[in-house]
Amino acid sequence: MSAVRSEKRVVRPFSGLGDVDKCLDHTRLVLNGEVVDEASLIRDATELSEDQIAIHLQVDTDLIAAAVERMKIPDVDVGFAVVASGKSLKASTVLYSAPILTASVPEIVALSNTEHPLVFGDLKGFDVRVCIVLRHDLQPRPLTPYLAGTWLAARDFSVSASRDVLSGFNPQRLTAEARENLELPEGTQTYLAITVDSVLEAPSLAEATAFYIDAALFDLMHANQSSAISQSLQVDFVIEFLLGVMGEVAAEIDALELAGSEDSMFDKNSEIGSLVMQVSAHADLSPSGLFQMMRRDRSRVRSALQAALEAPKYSRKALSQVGE
Amino acid sequence: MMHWVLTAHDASRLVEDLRAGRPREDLRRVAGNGADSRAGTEEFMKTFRESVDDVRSNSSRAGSGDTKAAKSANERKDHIEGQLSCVLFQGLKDLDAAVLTDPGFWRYLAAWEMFDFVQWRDGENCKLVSFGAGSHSPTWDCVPKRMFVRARIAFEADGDGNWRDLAGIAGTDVWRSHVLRVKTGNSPALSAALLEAWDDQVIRTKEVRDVAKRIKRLRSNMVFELMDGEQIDAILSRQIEAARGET
Repeated sequence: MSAVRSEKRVVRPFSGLGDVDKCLDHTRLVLNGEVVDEASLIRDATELSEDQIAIHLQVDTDLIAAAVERMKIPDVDVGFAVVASGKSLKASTVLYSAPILTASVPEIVALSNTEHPLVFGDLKGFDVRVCIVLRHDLQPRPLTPYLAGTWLAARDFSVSASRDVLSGFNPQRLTAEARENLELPEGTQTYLAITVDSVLEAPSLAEATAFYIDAALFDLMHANQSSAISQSLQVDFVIEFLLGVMGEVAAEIDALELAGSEDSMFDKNSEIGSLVMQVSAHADLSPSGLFQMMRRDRSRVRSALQAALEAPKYSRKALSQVGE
Repeated sequence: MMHWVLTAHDASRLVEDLRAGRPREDLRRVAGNGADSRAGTEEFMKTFRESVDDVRSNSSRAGSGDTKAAKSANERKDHIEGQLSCVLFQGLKDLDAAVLTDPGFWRYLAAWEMFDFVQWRDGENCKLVSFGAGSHSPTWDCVPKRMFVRARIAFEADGDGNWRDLAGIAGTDVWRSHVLRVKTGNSPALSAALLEAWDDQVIRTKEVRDVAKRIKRLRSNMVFELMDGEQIDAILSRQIEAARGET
């Protein structure tokens, strides 16, 4: 299991929510019977389909009532709810919802993929929000929530299927049409397209990049995936992709004048961060060291990647089969 | 559950071959395990293709004056897409979540089973994303995926009533930009209210983008899934008024 990130906190245009927010401090995910501190879990796809996941709610409704009273919000207008949604098909479900005055909040709410298959059986994973929410409209007052449906406090949890960091390397066929659209010369073999304004802020590699390989070449590689020459080409293309992405990230860091702070910028919470960490590890460098080298001697980063991905082994194997 | 899938590469290749008039090479792969859904899906997709012909010919006969919103050619197409989305949803809704949330399954439907329909709907030169290819995983441009979710949202909003009419509301931009691509789609009640207000011309064309943007902003502070119909209507009315106040 790779566990990441504490729960998200959103800056909101209201004041005096502190006490009520604390009422959810003990809400946690439960993974296969164990309470976990992380709000975001990344699980192997096969594990995810077998996992028993639940939300542990240690909630005192009297404390919530007292907290909202201090905000001059009538407790009769406040509810407690658990809402979940799958990541693929916009399926949402309200797992629990009751006014706090009458709520008998269960200690555990199971996230069952038999009862809510499109939410908890989603191969990509799901999100859960536990919240204290206004059930009715109130008289509007400055800096105080008053619309029904507004949450006063919330905890967000996410469970995702893990993706290999190189899942971002999902090449596209560079057809004649694609080549024309990208304004590339005839005869182009590969092209890395950056499809977002900021790679650093992109939620995934898939959204930020598209790596194109000449369609005819790609078809041959795809049809002979296990051949030595195909594997050798794949390794070369992966290295080209990684260098291209790292180059783009380096340019962005420089443009933002953040050079030198890379060690604190990246962690495994995001795909880009995770990729940077893995490339750094392959090069036996810290993230800061990696980007220094990208600026000073990019060829050395290529060499480190070739070594880490055993590129010469694949090339030798491919060449040794040429004469067979 | 065993099911057919296509990789992004194979879907892309298949589309290119079919567009070039080359023979269709069987690039399908089998995914999943347990009960085999393949024959059932293939059988259903035959029925779906017959429905496409029926709905399209009925629509041509009825002309453009049969619904409030079906005015332009694109809107007529979108109305047909909406009607057929109900057929697609009913035929596929009982498949396992592991099938329905598998990106390869949507590529298989789009490129193998629905090639002609996708070409008709999104244009003969439409991008590969209409087939769930050309991107890392199918986006909301993938025709069968967006149709299934469109009908599912309508069904969740009003399964006992007029969900088919709701799914049939023509408005490519409203569906794709303001429901499917944003969190509004996670609340069937709000999606339905927005679509009905659009169809009834309570929201004018020039206002819909602004109203949708306001709803999107509210989402960070509100949980739409917990609101009842009256509350949803009230919040939508407020956003329409606010949008008008600014114009």
